[in-house]
Amino acid sequence: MKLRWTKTTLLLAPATVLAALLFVYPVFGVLKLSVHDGTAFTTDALRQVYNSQLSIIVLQRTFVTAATVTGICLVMGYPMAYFMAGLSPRKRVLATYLILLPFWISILVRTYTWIILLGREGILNKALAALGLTAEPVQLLYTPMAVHIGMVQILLPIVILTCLTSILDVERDLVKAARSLGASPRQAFWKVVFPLSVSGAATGGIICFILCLGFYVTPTLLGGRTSTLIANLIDLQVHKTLKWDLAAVMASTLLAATFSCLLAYWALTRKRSEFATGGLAR
Amino acid sequence: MSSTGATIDFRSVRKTYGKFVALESFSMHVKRGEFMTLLGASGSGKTTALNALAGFTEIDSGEILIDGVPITRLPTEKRDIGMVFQSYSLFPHRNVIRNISFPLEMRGVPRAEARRRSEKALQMVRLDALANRMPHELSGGQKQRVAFARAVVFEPRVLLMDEPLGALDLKLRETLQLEIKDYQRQIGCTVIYVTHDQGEALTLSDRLAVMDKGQVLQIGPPEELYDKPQSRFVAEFVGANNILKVEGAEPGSVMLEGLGRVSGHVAHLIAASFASIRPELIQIRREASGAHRATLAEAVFFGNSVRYVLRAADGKEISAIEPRRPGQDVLPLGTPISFDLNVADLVALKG
Repeated sequence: MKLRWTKTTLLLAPATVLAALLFVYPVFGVLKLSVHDGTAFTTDALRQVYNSQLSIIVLQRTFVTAATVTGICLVMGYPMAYFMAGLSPRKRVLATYLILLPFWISILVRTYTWIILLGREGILNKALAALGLTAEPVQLLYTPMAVHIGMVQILLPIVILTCLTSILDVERDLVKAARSLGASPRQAFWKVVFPLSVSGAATGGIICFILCLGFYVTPTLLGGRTSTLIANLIDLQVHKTLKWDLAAVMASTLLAATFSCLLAYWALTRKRSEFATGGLAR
Repeated sequence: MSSTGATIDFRSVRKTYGKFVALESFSMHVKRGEFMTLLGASGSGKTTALNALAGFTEIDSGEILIDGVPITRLPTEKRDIGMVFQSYSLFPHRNVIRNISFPLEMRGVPRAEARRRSEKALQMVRLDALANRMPHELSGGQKQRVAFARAVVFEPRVLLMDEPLGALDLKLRETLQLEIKDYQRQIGCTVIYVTHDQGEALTLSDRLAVMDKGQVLQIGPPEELYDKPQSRFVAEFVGANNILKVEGAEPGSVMLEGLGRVSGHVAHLIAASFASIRPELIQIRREASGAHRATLAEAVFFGNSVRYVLRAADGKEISAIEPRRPGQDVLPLGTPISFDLNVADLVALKG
């Protein structure tokens, strides 16, 4: 027992040291920077950020964008996952590969493709013009819509796969049981499959939301001035205005939001494992 | 809770999965209120037959009728069939009483009435104290009782049970067998029960059908299948048995593996390829007075009986069960003994 404990410690040591050095220490540095100006504690930076209309608007926009993108991903991803769950195992593996395919291409490249599609001289505008639907090119690129599209494209696979896992976790026999007890396919879905997979879908949503909060490349490339997100603003403070304390406050806010999301995630998974340990034949 | 059971008819049902034939000209009539068991090994088609009746499997050809009405075009939920699964299949997000009221909810029964009827069903399986428990807080036996209550609460005319006791230990299985039989008598619905456990089939059924390769080999009351198996497969599958090869026949006598030449009432054996005899029909003689000589190869003590394996003169092993009185010793291995049997007890079997 003691030996095993030592072994565990040894095995975990490199990762722990690395995480402490490269993650925990800098994060505390950022947190400190947001309330400490190098000589004494101060709330200057905090007040500056929270009194500035710009940062409040951008923060708000970041959360709204994250929520919207998450919502779109769930509404598109859950039905897709449900469809995949109904496929034969062989076809499901194929579908999973297809969904994972975009991950082989860098986010940067995937985002640039949208410029080709949505630009003034892009394929979409040319098609619209050719069809006679528009007289002049429509402004598609550098709009909030373009940012949303880009983010959904990148995050959708993650949401589909988390939803798929939770739907597959629902035992097939439960659906059969529901049907034999008088439930139509629709009722069996809403009364059995959905309630049992919704918390799994929600965890997928939380992961998606957290990832959204930190998006940088997509709003930079596809967004205009009206779609700047908090990550862009932090970058601005770090590289252009060199106000690191303000950047630190914003980063800390983001961190706090992420931690709240993780708490919600933790609560959800705990509730889910309660069902899962129900001793069902597996 | 009571219902008038329905009649069930399978009419030359065929179902294939690719090249695998799961059911082949499968026909069977089940009477109103009858407890019918489909007995067979895995892959024999018994579960396919059940799934076809429940509507989970579409059949290739043939027809299934409930109370004379064809149902193969009806979706599962319209067939009014209760079903109990081996995996219990309780809804993990609903407590016991809400699991049981599910079928009533689906049928639009008013909430108060649904509650009352569910409680009554829960009372029948004697779990009224657990109404608000979640499924994961129940033992295996309790889960299956709840699943049973849920499957009968809406008073279906037909109840299907797919190896419902397969996941439980022996002792619990025996208790629940008696309970299931008792509930079924109370409710009166027609039951089709699927199992690979021949003991269970003999205990529970009004009639049982032995299945192999998608077909019914023999169907009848348990006594009939036990006493008069028609084929070697049924003779071996139902109960313990001795299968003896018929090695030669002439009018008035036959040559049997293990027994040698047997004469007397052997007319029924002349055309058979095998004969069977139950272990309990073989009388062991402690002296050489019996008709057949053998040595003791094995003895298993069961308390109320002893199972002996006798090695006959030609090397064939024959098992015999001897009821035991208190104080009676188990014979030591290697003892030369002899045994007798009634020739009329030999059952003629097809190949």
